[in-house]
Amino acid sequence: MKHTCENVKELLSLYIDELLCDDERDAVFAHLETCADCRSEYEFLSGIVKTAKTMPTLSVSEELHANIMQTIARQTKAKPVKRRLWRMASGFVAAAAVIAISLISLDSLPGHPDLTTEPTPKVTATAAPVTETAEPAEKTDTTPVITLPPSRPQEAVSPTPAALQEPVVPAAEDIPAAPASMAVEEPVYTGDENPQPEARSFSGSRAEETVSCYYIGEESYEEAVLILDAYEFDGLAYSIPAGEKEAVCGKLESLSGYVRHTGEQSDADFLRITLVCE
Amino acid sequence: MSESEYIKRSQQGDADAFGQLVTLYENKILNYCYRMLGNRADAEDATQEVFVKLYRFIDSFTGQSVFSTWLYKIASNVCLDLLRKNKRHTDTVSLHQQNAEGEEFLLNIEDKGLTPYESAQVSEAQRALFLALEQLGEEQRQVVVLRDVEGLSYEEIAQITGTAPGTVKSRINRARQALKKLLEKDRELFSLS
Repeated sequence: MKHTCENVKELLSLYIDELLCDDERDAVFAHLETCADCRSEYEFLSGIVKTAKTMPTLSVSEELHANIMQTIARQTKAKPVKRRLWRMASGFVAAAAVIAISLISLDSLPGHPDLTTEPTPKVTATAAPVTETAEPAEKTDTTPVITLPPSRPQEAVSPTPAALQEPVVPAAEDIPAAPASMAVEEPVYTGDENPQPEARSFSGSRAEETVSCYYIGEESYEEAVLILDAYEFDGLAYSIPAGEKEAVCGKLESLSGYVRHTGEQSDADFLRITLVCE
Repeated sequence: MSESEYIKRSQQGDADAFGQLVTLYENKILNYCYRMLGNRADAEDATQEVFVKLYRFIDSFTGQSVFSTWLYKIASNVCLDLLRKNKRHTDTVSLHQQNAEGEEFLLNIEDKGLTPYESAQVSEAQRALFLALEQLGEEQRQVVVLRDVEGLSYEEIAQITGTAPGTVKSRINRARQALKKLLEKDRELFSLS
């Protein structure tokens, strides 16, 4: 098997990582023996990789370690969540999903990369899967999550007014009257008690879905375009090929993605969405 | 005590066990964040956030994946979020400069206060590579760091980045090609002979 210089240069990366099959490896080796140009490229690339392997390392200072442990001492753990949430009646998308939206208004974040504080806009709290729970005393909000109304063509679920005015605390509250066609399978827990989730659920798992978001506070966004580009399951992230989202939703237990809202807020702000599918 | 024992006890609420997990991984995570974010202050903030997230969500670790892979995944998310949030574009500082007479000289990083590492024992090659890494796009930087600096396998990288192994292969290849281009002027620092 002979290779051109162009072929060989493309294969150098895998050659260095020893991931070529024997035939290819031998062919590259043979080519490198005779071609000074490619050999020079190989040595350059090898040198880069070798340098990368031996980069100097930082050490965690005692202060940093102490800071980490102190911050953790102030946290409370998220309880394991019950994953099955909503079962949709027939006529809706088979893969039902509940979206809990964590509002991360990036511009208004303090320099601290803590994503759970959200000064404005306030959002309704919901028992979202895998959410943060009680915050340290100095923070005013708990998990700023909202659930979206289901994106159904026939009817729009208007948010229960009460739900909008509830403080952002996953306190025990009744599920506002869910549409008759939706039955709550199991409550979702965020903390030690069993708070009831805010009512509205969202179904659908298309790559882009227009949903309505409602927020407590001054600003409200008419529409948000839900963009699912990646999801996490068991803490590992996967990307969703566009055609597979519905199939994927049936297997997954949680999704997370980004919403870029098209309302008045700038497009630079993102909402993190956690989807839970049956 | 084994790592899985620490994990189990952490899930049961054992703070000391969790502290052991932090100690086991904090240096790795700090360095990974450092290479992704390019400065120590951000890396320390990110490291703290990684372990806070770990603490919050440790109960959801079922053991189906390798713990370190999961932790790297959390760290990747934190770093990529920070990078996207800041949308900072690293100033491209060429190591090759010209003085007023048009003579070329090699920029000493300390002149710009850009000492990437605390130790003075950093080679020119390492400095050049560090700067070049910061000029890569986030995803390319991530795979090169995970592969060549952290030493992870293609499969692990695929899990961490949420892409297929084939994508990882081509991304690493393109990232290394990009590094070669960025480092072309410093080629002699890297060639083996």
